[in-house]
Amino acid sequence: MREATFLILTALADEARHGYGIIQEVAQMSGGRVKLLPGTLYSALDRLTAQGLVEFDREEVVDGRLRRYYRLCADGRTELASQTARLRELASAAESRLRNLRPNLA
Amino acid sequence: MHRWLLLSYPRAYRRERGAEILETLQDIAPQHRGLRVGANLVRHGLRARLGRPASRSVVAWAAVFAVACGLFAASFGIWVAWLGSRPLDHHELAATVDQLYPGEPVRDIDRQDPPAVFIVYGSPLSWQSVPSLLFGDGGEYEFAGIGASFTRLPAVTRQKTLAQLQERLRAAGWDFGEPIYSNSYDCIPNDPRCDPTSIPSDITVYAQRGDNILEVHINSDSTTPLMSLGMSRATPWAAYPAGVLAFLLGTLGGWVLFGWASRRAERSHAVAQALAKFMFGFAVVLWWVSILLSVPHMLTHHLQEAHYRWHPLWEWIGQPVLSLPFLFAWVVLILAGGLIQLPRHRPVDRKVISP
Repeated sequence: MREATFLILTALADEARHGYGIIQEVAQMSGGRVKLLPGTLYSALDRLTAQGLVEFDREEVVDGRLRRYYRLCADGRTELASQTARLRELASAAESRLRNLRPNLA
Repeated sequence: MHRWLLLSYPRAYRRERGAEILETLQDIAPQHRGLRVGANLVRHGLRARLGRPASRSVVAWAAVFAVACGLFAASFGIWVAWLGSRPLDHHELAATVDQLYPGEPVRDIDRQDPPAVFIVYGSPLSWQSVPSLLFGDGGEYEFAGIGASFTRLPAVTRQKTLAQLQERLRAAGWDFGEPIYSNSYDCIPNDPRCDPTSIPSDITVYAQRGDNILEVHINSDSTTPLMSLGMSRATPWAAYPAGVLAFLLGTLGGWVLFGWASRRAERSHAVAQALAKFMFGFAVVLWWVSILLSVPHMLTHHLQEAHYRWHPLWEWIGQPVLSLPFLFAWVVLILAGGLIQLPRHRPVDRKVISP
Protein backbone atom coordinates (compact mmCIF):
# COMPACT_ATOMS: atom_id res chain seq x y z
CA MET A 1 0.00 0.00 0.00
CA ARG A 2 1.30 3.45 -0.93
CA GLU A 3 2.02 5.94 1.79
CA ALA A 4 -0.66 8.38 0.60
CA THR A 5 -3.30 5.63 0.65
CA PHE A 6 -2.24 4.57 4.14
CA LEU A 7 -2.46 8.14 5.35
CA ILE A 8 -5.93 8.63 3.83
CA LEU A 9 -7.18 5.51 5.63
CA THR A 10 -5.58 6.77 8.84
CA ALA A 11 -7.19 10.19 8.41
CA LEU A 12 -10.59 8.51 8.24
CA ALA A 13 -9.93 6.12 11.14
CA ASP A 14 -11.38 8.27 13.93
CA GLU A 15 -14.13 10.18 12.12
CA ALA A 16 -15.76 10.84 8.77
CA ARG A 17 -14.09 13.68 6.86
CA HIS A 18 -14.66 15.66 3.67
CA GLY A 19 -12.06 16.02 0.91
CA TYR A 20 -10.30 19.11 2.20
CA GLY A 21 -10.47 17.73 5.74
CA ILE A 22 -8.60 14.61 4.58
CA ILE A 23 -5.96 16.75 2.81
CA GLN A 24 -5.40 18.80 5.98
CA GLU A 25 -5.27 15.74 8.22
CA VAL A 26 -2.80 13.94 5.96
CA ALA A 27 -0.56 17.02 5.81
CA GLN A 28 -0.65 17.32 9.62
CA MET A 29 0.08 13.63 10.24
CA SER A 30 3.03 13.63 7.85
CA GLY A 31 4.42 16.90 9.21
CA GLY A 32 3.64 18.67 5.92
CA ARG A 33 5.64 16.16 3.88
CA VAL A 34 2.68 14.61 2.04
CA LYS A 35 0.58 17.25 0.33
CA LEU A 36 -2.35 15.58 -1.42
CA LEU A 37 -3.72 17.27 -4.51
CA PRO A 38 -7.45 16.97 -5.28
CA GLY A 39 -6.89 14.80 -8.38
CA THR A 40 -4.85 12.30 -6.36
CA LEU A 41 -7.25 12.40 -3.42
CA TYR A 42 -10.44 11.71 -5.37
CA SER A 43 -8.72 9.07 -7.48
CA ALA A 44 -7.62 7.32 -4.26
CA LEU A 45 -11.10 7.67 -2.73
CA ASP A 46 -12.62 6.09 -5.89
CA ARG A 47 -10.17 3.21 -5.65
CA LEU A 48 -10.70 2.68 -1.93
CA THR A 49 -14.48 2.83 -2.43
CA ALA A 50 -14.27 0.24 -5.24
CA GLN A 51 -12.17 -1.96 -2.94
CA GLY A 52 -14.80 -1.65 -0.23
CA LEU A 53 -12.45 0.05 2.25
CA VAL A 54 -14.10 3.51 2.28
CA GLU A 55 -17.70 4.60 1.81
CA PHE A 56 -19.74 7.75 1.39
CA ASP A 57 -21.04 9.00 4.73
CA ARG A 58 -23.13 12.14 4.26
CA GLU A 59 -23.40 15.41 2.41
CA GLU A 60 -23.59 18.85 4.00
CA VAL A 61 -23.80 22.38 2.70
CA VAL A 62 -21.82 24.69 4.98
CA ASP A 63 -21.81 28.44 4.17
CA GLY A 64 -23.11 27.59 0.70
CA ARG A 65 -20.27 25.10 0.11
CA LEU A 66 -20.79 21.44 -0.62
CA ARG A 67 -19.10 19.07 1.82
CA ARG A 68 -19.21 15.36 1.11
CA TYR A 69 -17.99 13.16 3.94
CA TYR A 70 -16.32 9.77 3.70
CA ARG A 71 -15.82 7.16 6.37
CA LEU A 72 -13.88 3.96 6.83
CA CYS A 73 -15.75 0.66 6.27
CA ALA A 74 -15.22 -2.41 8.45
CA ASP A 75 -12.89 -3.84 5.79
CA GLY A 76 -11.05 -0.53 5.75
CA ARG A 77 -10.42 -0.71 9.48
CA THR A 78 -9.18 -4.31 9.14
CA GLU A 79 -6.88 -3.32 6.25
CA LEU A 80 -5.56 -0.32 8.17
CA ALA A 81 -4.90 -2.49 11.23
CA SER A 82 -3.06 -5.09 9.14
CA GLN A 83 -0.99 -2.45 7.34
CA THR A 84 -0.16 -0.79 10.66
CA ALA A 85 0.99 -4.14 12.09
CA ARG A 86 3.09 -4.76 8.99
CA LEU A 87 4.73 -1.34 9.21
CA ARG A 88 5.32 -1.81 12.95
CA GLU A 89 7.07 -5.14 12.30
CA LEU A 90 9.24 -3.54 9.64
CA ALA A 91 10.06 -0.59 11.89
CA SER A 92 10.92 -2.96 14.77
CA ALA A 93 13.18 -5.03 12.55
CA ALA A 94 14.96 -1.89 11.34
CA GLU A 95 15.31 -0.54 14.89
CA SER A 96 16.70 -3.79 16.21
CA ARG A 97 19.35 -3.95 13.46
CA LEU A 98 20.30 -0.33 14.01
CA ARG A 99 20.55 -0.96 17.75
CA ASN A 100 22.95 -3.87 17.10
CA LEU A 101 24.99 -1.59 14.89
CA ARG A 102 25.07 1.26 17.37
CA PRO A 103 24.17 0.12 20.90
CA ASN A 104 23.63 3.73 22.04
CA LEU A 105 20.73 4.25 19.64
CA ALA A 106 17.55 4.59 21.64
CA MET B 1 -9.47 27.34 -15.41
CA HIS B 2 -10.04 24.26 -13.24
CA ARG B 3 -13.61 24.05 -14.49
CA TRP B 4 -12.16 23.53 -17.98
CA LEU B 5 -9.63 21.01 -16.76
CA LEU B 6 -12.48 19.01 -15.27
CA LEU B 7 -13.37 18.16 -18.87
CA SER B 8 -10.68 15.49 -18.66
CA TYR B 9 -13.13 13.59 -16.38
CA PRO B 10 -16.06 11.73 -17.97
CA ARG B 11 -19.36 13.62 -18.04
CA ALA B 12 -21.19 11.40 -15.53
CA TYR B 13 -18.28 11.75 -13.10
CA ARG B 14 -18.29 15.54 -13.48
CA ARG B 15 -22.00 15.67 -12.72
CA GLU B 16 -21.57 13.59 -9.61
CA ARG B 17 -18.28 14.88 -8.24
CA GLY B 18 -17.45 18.04 -10.19
CA ALA B 19 -18.83 20.50 -7.62
CA GLU B 20 -17.11 18.66 -4.78
CA ILE B 21 -13.73 18.67 -6.55
CA LEU B 22 -14.07 22.38 -7.40
CA GLU B 23 -14.81 23.19 -3.73
CA THR B 24 -11.69 21.29 -2.65
CA LEU B 25 -9.65 23.06 -5.34
CA GLN B 26 -10.82 26.40 -3.96
CA ASP B 27 -9.82 25.33 -0.44
CA ILE B 28 -6.27 24.38 -1.39
CA ALA B 29 -5.73 27.23 -3.90
CA PRO B 30 -3.68 29.47 -1.56
CA GLN B 31 -1.18 26.69 -0.77
CA HIS B 32 -0.48 25.17 -4.21
CA ARG B 33 0.71 26.32 -7.59
CA GLY B 34 -2.02 26.23 -10.24
CA LEU B 35 0.04 24.44 -12.90
CA ARG B 36 0.84 21.46 -10.69
CA VAL B 37 -2.75 21.20 -9.49
CA GLY B 38 -4.02 21.43 -13.08
CA ALA B 39 -1.66 18.75 -14.38
CA ASN B 40 -2.62 16.50 -11.48
CA LEU B 41 -6.30 17.04 -12.24
CA VAL B 42 -5.91 16.21 -15.93
CA ARG B 43 -3.85 13.10 -15.15
CA HIS B 44 -6.40 11.71 -12.73
CA GLY B 45 -9.29 12.84 -14.92
CA LEU B 46 -7.92 10.76 -17.78
CA ARG B 47 -7.55 7.85 -15.37
CA ALA B 48 -11.15 8.32 -14.22
CA ARG B 49 -12.25 8.02 -17.85
CA LEU B 50 -11.17 4.38 -17.82
CA GLY B 51 -13.52 3.45 -14.96
CA ARG B 52 -12.57 0.38 -12.84
CA PRO B 53 -10.78 2.50 -10.22
CA ALA B 54 -9.36 -0.54 -8.42
CA SER B 55 -7.79 -2.04 -11.56
CA ARG B 56 -4.20 -1.46 -12.58
CA SER B 57 -4.23 -3.54 -15.74
CA VAL B 58 -6.88 -1.28 -17.28
CA VAL B 59 -4.30 1.54 -17.48
CA ALA B 60 -1.81 -0.73 -19.26
CA TRP B 61 -4.44 -1.91 -21.77
CA ALA B 62 -5.59 1.66 -22.37
CA ALA B 63 -2.01 2.78 -22.99
CA VAL B 64 -1.35 -0.06 -25.44
CA PHE B 65 -4.57 0.67 -27.32
CA ALA B 66 -4.08 4.45 -27.31
CA VAL B 67 -0.48 4.27 -28.59
CA ALA B 68 -1.55 1.95 -31.42
CA CYS B 69 -4.34 4.42 -32.30
CA GLY B 70 -1.79 7.24 -32.16
CA LEU B 71 0.52 5.42 -34.58
CA PHE B 72 -2.29 4.72 -37.03
CA ALA B 73 -3.50 8.32 -36.78
CA ALA B 74 0.05 9.63 -37.27
CA SER B 75 0.39 7.47 -40.38
CA PHE B 76 -2.84 8.90 -41.71
CA GLY B 77 -1.70 12.46 -40.91
CA ILE B 78 1.60 11.90 -42.72
CA TRP B 79 -0.23 10.34 -45.67
CA VAL B 80 -2.49 13.40 -45.92
CA ALA B 81 0.56 15.69 -45.77
CA TRP B 82 2.15 13.69 -48.58
CA LEU B 83 -0.94 14.21 -50.74
CA GLY B 84 -0.21 17.94 -50.53
CA SER B 85 3.40 17.56 -51.69
CA ARG B 86 4.58 19.15 -54.94
CA PRO B 87 3.75 16.85 -57.88
CA LEU B 88 6.62 15.23 -59.73
CA ASP B 89 7.46 16.95 -63.00
CA HIS B 90 8.86 14.96 -65.94
CA HIS B 91 10.36 18.20 -67.33
CA GLU B 92 12.49 18.40 -64.19
CA LEU B 93 13.72 14.85 -64.80
CA ALA B 94 14.58 15.66 -68.40
CA ALA B 95 16.47 18.78 -67.27
CA THR B 96 18.37 16.76 -64.66
CA VAL B 97 19.36 14.05 -67.17
CA ASP B 98 20.44 16.74 -69.61
CA GLN B 99 22.44 18.52 -66.92
CA LEU B 100 24.21 15.37 -65.72
CA TYR B 101 24.69 13.69 -69.09
CA PRO B 102 24.35 16.23 -71.91
CA GLY B 103 24.14 14.57 -75.32
CA GLU B 104 24.11 11.04 -73.87
CA PRO B 105 21.59 8.90 -75.80
CA VAL B 106 18.81 7.75 -73.48
CA ARG B 107 17.19 4.35 -73.88
CA ASP B 108 13.99 5.38 -72.20
CA ILE B 109 12.65 8.42 -70.32
CA ASP B 110 9.26 9.15 -68.76
CA ARG B 111 7.46 11.84 -70.72
CA GLN B 112 4.41 12.01 -68.48
CA ASP B 113 3.90 12.95 -64.85
CA PRO B 114 2.82 10.13 -62.51
CA PRO B 115 -0.97 9.85 -62.04
CA ALA B 116 -0.81 10.21 -58.22
CA VAL B 117 1.54 10.63 -55.28
CA PHE B 118 1.11 6.93 -54.39
CA ILE B 119 0.47 4.16 -56.85
CA VAL B 120 -0.39 0.46 -56.86
CA TYR B 121 1.00 -1.37 -59.89
CA GLY B 122 1.43 1.97 -61.66
CA SER B 123 -2.15 3.16 -61.06
CA PRO B 124 -3.64 5.45 -58.43
CA LEU B 125 -5.38 3.86 -55.45
CA SER B 126 -8.87 2.75 -56.40
CA TRP B 127 -11.51 0.26 -55.28
CA GLN B 128 -10.11 -2.16 -57.86
CA SER B 129 -6.76 -2.14 -56.07
CA VAL B 130 -8.26 -2.91 -52.64
CA PRO B 131 -8.19 -6.73 -53.08
CA SER B 132 -4.51 -6.51 -54.04
CA LEU B 133 -3.72 -4.42 -50.97
CA LEU B 134 -5.64 -6.70 -48.61
CA PHE B 135 -4.51 -10.06 -49.93
CA GLY B 136 -0.73 -9.97 -49.89
CA ASP B 137 0.25 -7.24 -52.32
CA GLY B 138 0.14 -4.34 -49.86
CA GLY B 139 3.85 -3.77 -50.48
CA GLU B 140 3.00 -2.65 -54.00
CA TYR B 141 1.50 0.55 -52.59
CA GLU B 142 4.45 2.87 -53.05
CA PHE B 143 5.65 6.33 -53.94
CA ALA B 144 5.25 7.22 -57.58
CA GLY B 145 8.44 8.02 -59.43
CA ILE B 146 9.68 8.93 -62.88
CA GLY B 147 12.77 7.57 -64.50
CA ALA B 148 15.18 7.37 -67.38
CA SER B 149 17.70 4.75 -68.55
CA PHE B 150 20.76 4.67 -70.79
CA THR B 151 21.67 2.15 -73.46
CA ARG B 152 25.33 2.21 -72.46
CA LEU B 153 27.49 3.39 -69.62
CA PRO B 154 28.43 7.07 -70.05
CA ALA B 155 32.04 6.22 -69.13
CA VAL B 156 34.04 3.19 -70.17
CA THR B 157 33.83 1.19 -66.95
CA ARG B 158 31.39 1.10 -64.04
CA GLN B 159 33.95 2.57 -61.63
CA LYS B 160 34.69 5.43 -64.03
CA THR B 161 30.94 5.94 -64.52
CA LEU B 162 30.54 6.13 -60.75
CA ALA B 163 33.38 8.64 -60.36
CA GLN B 164 31.98 10.72 -63.21
CA LEU B 165 28.48 10.61 -61.68
CA GLN B 166 29.75 11.76 -58.28
CA GLU B 167 31.71 14.58 -59.85
CA ARG B 168 28.73 15.78 -61.91
CA LEU B 169 26.27 15.46 -59.02
CA ARG B 170 28.59 17.60 -56.91
CA ALA B 171 28.92 20.17 -59.68
CA ALA B 172 25.15 20.31 -60.12
CA GLY B 173 24.58 20.93 -56.42
CA TRP B 174 23.26 17.51 -55.45
CA ASP B 175 23.93 16.11 -51.98
CA PHE B 176 24.74 12.41 -52.34
CA GLY B 177 25.62 9.45 -50.14
CA GLU B 178 28.17 6.66 -50.29
CA PRO B 179 27.58 4.20 -53.16
CA ILE B 180 25.75 1.04 -52.10
CA TYR B 181 26.99 -2.23 -53.59
CA SER B 182 24.56 -5.13 -53.79
CA ASN B 183 24.57 -8.50 -55.52
CA SER B 184 22.86 -8.53 -58.90
CA TYR B 185 21.17 -11.78 -57.93
CA ASP B 186 21.12 -14.23 -55.06
CA CYS B 187 22.07 -17.88 -55.01
CA ILE B 188 21.18 -20.62 -52.55
CA PRO B 189 23.70 -20.64 -49.69
CA ASN B 190 25.60 -23.94 -49.19
CA ASP B 191 24.78 -24.97 -52.76
CA PRO B 192 28.01 -26.18 -54.43
CA ARG B 193 27.25 -24.00 -57.46
CA CYS B 194 26.80 -20.91 -55.28
CA ASP B 195 29.90 -18.75 -55.11
CA PRO B 196 28.94 -15.33 -53.69
CA THR B 197 32.32 -13.88 -54.68
CA SER B 198 31.60 -14.53 -58.36
CA ILE B 199 28.21 -12.74 -58.31
CA PRO B 200 28.43 -9.37 -60.08
CA SER B 201 27.34 -6.38 -58.05
CA ASP B 202 25.08 -3.43 -58.82
CA ILE B 203 25.89 0.07 -57.59
CA THR B 204 23.24 2.45 -56.26
CA VAL B 205 23.75 6.12 -55.44
CA TYR B 206 21.12 8.23 -53.69
CA ALA B 207 21.19 12.01 -54.05
CA GLN B 208 18.99 14.91 -52.96
CA ARG B 209 18.57 18.45 -54.19
CA GLY B 210 15.73 20.52 -52.77
CA ASP B 211 12.66 18.29 -52.64
CA ASN B 212 13.93 15.99 -55.41
CA ILE B 213 15.50 12.63 -54.67
CA LEU B 214 17.55 10.92 -57.33
CA GLU B 215 18.28 7.19 -57.30
CA VAL B 216 20.97 6.14 -59.77
CA HIS B 217 21.64 2.48 -60.56
CA ILE B 218 24.84 1.44 -62.28
CA ASN B 219 24.17 -2.19 -63.05
CA SER B 220 26.39 -5.12 -63.83
CA ASP B 221 26.96 -6.25 -67.41
CA SER B 222 24.34 -8.97 -67.04
CA THR B 223 21.56 -6.47 -66.26
CA THR B 224 19.60 -4.33 -68.69
CA PRO B 225 19.58 -1.36 -68.69
CA LEU B 226 23.17 -0.77 -67.71
CA MET B 227 22.33 2.50 -66.04
CA SER B 228 19.08 4.06 -64.84
CA LEU B 229 17.93 7.13 -62.93
CA GLY B 230 14.78 7.46 -60.84
CA MET B 231 13.38 10.69 -59.48
CA SER B 232 10.99 10.91 -56.56
CA ARG B 233 9.87 13.47 -54.01
CA ALA B 234 11.54 14.09 -50.63
CA THR B 235 9.39 14.01 -47.50
CA PRO B 236 7.41 17.28 -47.38
CA TRP B 237 8.11 19.39 -44.27
CA ALA B 238 4.39 19.34 -43.41
CA ALA B 239 4.60 15.58 -42.84
CA TYR B 240 6.49 16.08 -39.55
CA PRO B 241 4.07 18.42 -37.73
CA ALA B 242 1.13 16.53 -39.26
CA GLY B 243 2.50 13.25 -37.93
CA VAL B 244 3.15 14.61 -34.43
CA LEU B 245 -0.23 16.34 -34.22
CA ALA B 246 -2.10 13.31 -35.54
CA PHE B 247 -0.22 11.06 -33.09
CA LEU B 248 -1.25 13.22 -30.14
CA LEU B 249 -4.86 13.47 -31.28
CA GLY B 250 -5.00 9.77 -32.14
CA THR B 251 -3.56 8.74 -28.78
CA LEU B 252 -5.99 10.99 -26.92
CA GLY B 253 -8.87 9.74 -29.07
CA GLY B 254 -7.84 6.13 -28.45
CA TRP B 255 -7.70 6.75 -24.70
CA VAL B 256 -11.14 8.38 -24.66
CA LEU B 257 -12.60 5.62 -26.85
CA PHE B 258 -11.11 2.93 -24.63
CA GLY B 259 -12.46 4.73 -21.55
CA TRP B 260 -15.94 4.92 -23.05
CA ALA B 261 -15.91 1.19 -23.82
CA SER B 262 -14.37 0.29 -20.47
CA ARG B 263 -17.00 2.22 -18.47
CA ARG B 264 -19.82 0.66 -20.46
CA ALA B 265 -18.31 -2.80 -20.14
CA GLU B 266 -18.39 -2.34 -16.35
CA ARG B 267 -22.18 -2.07 -16.53
CA SER B 268 -22.70 -4.84 -19.08
CA HIS B 269 -23.61 -8.47 -18.44
CA ALA B 270 -20.76 -10.53 -17.00
CA VAL B 271 -20.69 -12.94 -19.96
CA ALA B 272 -20.82 -10.11 -22.52
CA GLN B 273 -18.10 -8.32 -20.56
CA ALA B 274 -15.81 -11.35 -20.53
CA LEU B 275 -16.35 -11.98 -24.24
CA ALA B 276 -15.82 -8.31 -25.09
CA LYS B 277 -12.56 -8.29 -23.09
CA PHE B 278 -11.32 -11.35 -24.95
CA MET B 279 -12.23 -9.82 -28.31
CA PHE B 280 -10.57 -6.54 -27.38
CA GLY B 281 -7.39 -8.33 -26.28
CA PHE B 282 -7.35 -10.37 -29.48
CA ALA B 283 -7.75 -7.25 -31.68
CA VAL B 284 -5.05 -5.30 -29.86
CA VAL B 285 -2.64 -8.24 -30.04
CA LEU B 286 -3.36 -8.48 -33.78
CA TRP B 287 -2.46 -4.80 -34.20
CA TRP B 288 0.69 -5.01 -32.14
CA VAL B 289 1.90 -8.21 -33.79
CA SER B 290 1.81 -6.31 -37.12
CA ILE B 291 3.65 -3.37 -35.58
CA LEU B 292 6.25 -5.42 -33.73
CA LEU B 293 6.96 -7.61 -36.75
CA SER B 294 7.50 -4.62 -39.01
CA VAL B 295 9.52 -2.26 -36.81
CA PRO B 296 12.67 -4.45 -36.44
CA HIS B 297 12.60 -5.23 -40.17
CA MET B 298 12.39 -1.53 -41.10
CA LEU B 299 14.96 -0.54 -38.51
CA THR B 300 17.45 -3.07 -39.85
CA HIS B 301 16.79 -1.88 -43.39
CA HIS B 302 17.34 1.78 -42.45
CA LEU B 303 20.51 1.02 -40.52
CA GLN B 304 21.95 -0.97 -43.43
CA GLU B 305 21.77 1.84 -45.97
CA ALA B 306 21.48 5.61 -45.91
CA HIS B 307 18.07 7.02 -46.74
CA TYR B 308 17.40 10.50 -48.04
CA ARG B 309 13.74 9.77 -47.45
CA TRP B 310 12.72 7.51 -44.59
CA HIS B 311 10.11 4.94 -45.36
CA PRO B 312 6.74 6.40 -44.34
CA LEU B 313 5.37 5.58 -40.90
CA TRP B 314 2.66 3.25 -42.19
CA GLU B 315 5.33 0.92 -43.56
CA TRP B 316 7.01 0.89 -40.14
CA ILE B 317 3.79 -0.37 -38.57
CA GLY B 318 3.18 -2.97 -41.24
CA GLN B 319 0.68 -1.14 -43.44
CA PRO B 320 -0.68 -1.74 -45.95
CA VAL B 321 1.15 -5.09 -46.17
CA LEU B 322 -0.76 -6.35 -43.13
CA SER B 323 -3.93 -4.37 -43.79
CA LEU B 324 -6.13 -7.47 -43.62
CA PRO B 325 -5.37 -8.25 -39.93
CA PHE B 326 -5.57 -4.49 -39.22
CA LEU B 327 -9.09 -4.24 -40.64
CA PHE B 328 -10.13 -7.56 -39.13
CA ALA B 329 -9.06 -6.22 -35.71
CA TRP B 330 -11.25 -3.15 -36.28
CA VAL B 331 -14.23 -5.38 -37.09
CA VAL B 332 -13.60 -7.40 -33.91
CA LEU B 333 -13.38 -4.16 -31.90
CA ILE B 334 -16.65 -2.87 -33.35
CA LEU B 335 -18.34 -6.20 -32.51
CA ALA B 336 -16.93 -6.02 -28.98
CA GLY B 337 -18.27 -2.45 -28.71
CA GLY B 338 -21.69 -3.69 -29.80
CA LEU B 339 -21.55 -6.49 -27.27
CA ILE B 340 -21.08 -4.18 -24.30
CA GLN B 341 -23.98 -2.05 -25.51
CA LEU B 342 -26.39 -4.96 -25.08
CA PRO B 343 -28.84 -4.22 -22.24
CA ARG B 344 -28.06 -5.98 -19.00
CA HIS B 345 -30.71 -8.50 -18.02
CA ARG B 346 -32.55 -7.36 -14.93
CA PRO B 347 -35.08 -9.52 -13.09
CA VAL B 348 -38.61 -8.17 -13.53
CA ASP B 349 -40.09 -6.70 -10.37
CA ARG B 350 -42.83 -8.94 -9.13
CA LYS B 351 -45.81 -7.06 -7.91
CA VAL B 352 -47.26 -8.38 -4.73
CA ILE B 353 -50.97 -8.77 -5.25
CA SER B 354 -52.77 -8.56 -2.01
CA PRO B 355 -55.69 -10.89 -1.67
